[in-house]
Amino acid sequence: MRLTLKNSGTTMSNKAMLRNYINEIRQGNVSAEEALKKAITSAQSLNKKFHFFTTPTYDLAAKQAHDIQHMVQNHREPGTLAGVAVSVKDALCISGIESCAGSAILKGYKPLITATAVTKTINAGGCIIGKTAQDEFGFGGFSVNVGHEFPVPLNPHDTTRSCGGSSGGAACLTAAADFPHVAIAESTGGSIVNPAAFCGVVGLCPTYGRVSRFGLIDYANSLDKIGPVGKNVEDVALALSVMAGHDQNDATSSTLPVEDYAKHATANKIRVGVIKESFGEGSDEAVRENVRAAINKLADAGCKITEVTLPTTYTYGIPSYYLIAMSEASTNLSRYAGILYGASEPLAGGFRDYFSAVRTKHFGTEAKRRILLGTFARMTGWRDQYYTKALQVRQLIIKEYQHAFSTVDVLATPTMPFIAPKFSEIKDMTPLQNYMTDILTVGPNLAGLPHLSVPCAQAKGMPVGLLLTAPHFREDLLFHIGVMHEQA
Amino acid sequence: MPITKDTIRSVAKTCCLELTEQEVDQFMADFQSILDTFSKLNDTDTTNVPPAFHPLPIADVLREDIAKQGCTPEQALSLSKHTSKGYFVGPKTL
Repeated sequence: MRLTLKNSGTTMSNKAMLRNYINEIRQGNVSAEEALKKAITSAQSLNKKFHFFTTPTYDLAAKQAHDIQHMVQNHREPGTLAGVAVSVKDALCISGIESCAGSAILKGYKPLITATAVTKTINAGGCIIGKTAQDEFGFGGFSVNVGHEFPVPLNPHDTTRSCGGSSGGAACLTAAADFPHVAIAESTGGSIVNPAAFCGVVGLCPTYGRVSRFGLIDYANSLDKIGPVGKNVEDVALALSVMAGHDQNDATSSTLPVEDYAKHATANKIRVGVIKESFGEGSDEAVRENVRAAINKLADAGCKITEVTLPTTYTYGIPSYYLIAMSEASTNLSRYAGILYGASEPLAGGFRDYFSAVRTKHFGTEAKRRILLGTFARMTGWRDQYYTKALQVRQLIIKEYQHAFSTVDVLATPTMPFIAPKFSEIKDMTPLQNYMTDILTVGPNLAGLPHLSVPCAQAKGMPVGLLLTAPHFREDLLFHIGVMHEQA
Repeated sequence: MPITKDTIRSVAKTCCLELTEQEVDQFMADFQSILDTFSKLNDTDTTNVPPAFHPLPIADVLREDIAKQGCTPEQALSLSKHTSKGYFVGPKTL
């Protein structure tokens, strides 16, 4: 498939150019320094059009490229991502680089640590070109809930439309880039696959615990996952192979061994379950038709297609997800008080006056809404009815997925119910309408299941995503079927 | 369940947020519509269903109690504007 970007003037190819580029760098046929110099020039130009960076780190990338080049010249191993430009969602810490999770309350914060996923990527030869734009702390699906003075990324296919969110900058840059690049993104309730679908790129949200969360500025600890976004399935598989693995700094990271995902699984006649509820009337007809056509192509390629139903997930997933996510977020955000790091004000009044002044001034409206709702849901008198109930329903949802996977290998749905909306349409949406748009993505996130969005068509000139979900730690199966889809 | 202005003000005070009257009205309306919708969770039978705090079973992870060098006091203090003589300075507590 080839997608031409209307606004960038660039043409991108879904061919696996990353692997060839890395081979050229490793063999010394292409200079990493020269390649990154070109990539930086291009990124600077594209960023002016699409606003995907919160903090560019061009000097860091140039230095890392210099080091890679030096290693190649001295016949030392430069890593499996040698010389690849890598962008990092603003929520992941990089030592000495401003890391704000898109929030004004962290303005000026330059962490002392680097997120493990980023460290592994750098150690594999990745060159960090910038921090990417996002909804404040991940609180949104359209990258419009940004902190004061933070950029709103514009969809490279149509700049009047959203990139999706919350990892909007990551998908935006991936779609626009005319140089070898992968993005490190993060998902709590759909924040990797949503923007990947809206921008026409591939996004993988791994199994909870597959990638260490150390160094991530938390949104909701039991839901947060770090994963890659790339132009094609192979690029994403390669990036995950680098990032995944146990980390003693994250007690929830899995000790299961990491596979070489770039090799993909071999599987006979994959059983694909199409979730009946995901093709309901709430979704755009053009999206439904295109995703059904993509699933039919998987059948032509040898997959066995059946219909499955997940009524609990689709009826109760949204309230369960939002109550848990907001509850966890409200505790996480209690640490931001203007003393130890980030934004601050002149000390005045008592501690409650000061903390309230800082938090009131620097948190955005959606952050305040989620802090209030999350605090309410955990308060004595309401906790059992909201927070605990949501956790019990989550248990039912996990069981429902386990039951579904007793009869199928992979589940298929549209990634999002509609194409990327226009900013003018988003402005008129209520908070509740915003939350309801996550109906297709909250289920696998609540259950911690790996899920992959691949572009499958265009509707009204905008990309449409096919979402594939697998059992825990079966990312290999997702990459296998993802490649089948690309070749269909 | 009816949400009142006093509910919003009480929650805001708990989480250290100051709200204007306009914001109180807005958040009250938001709370009402969101919680009315979310209350449908009560239609589910969760008798004897344990809460899922994590999507996968999580085990306690312990390590040897050996002191390690973390960041230095100077590094920690370098992130704050409110420091004095090697300490953080905070607002009045009394």
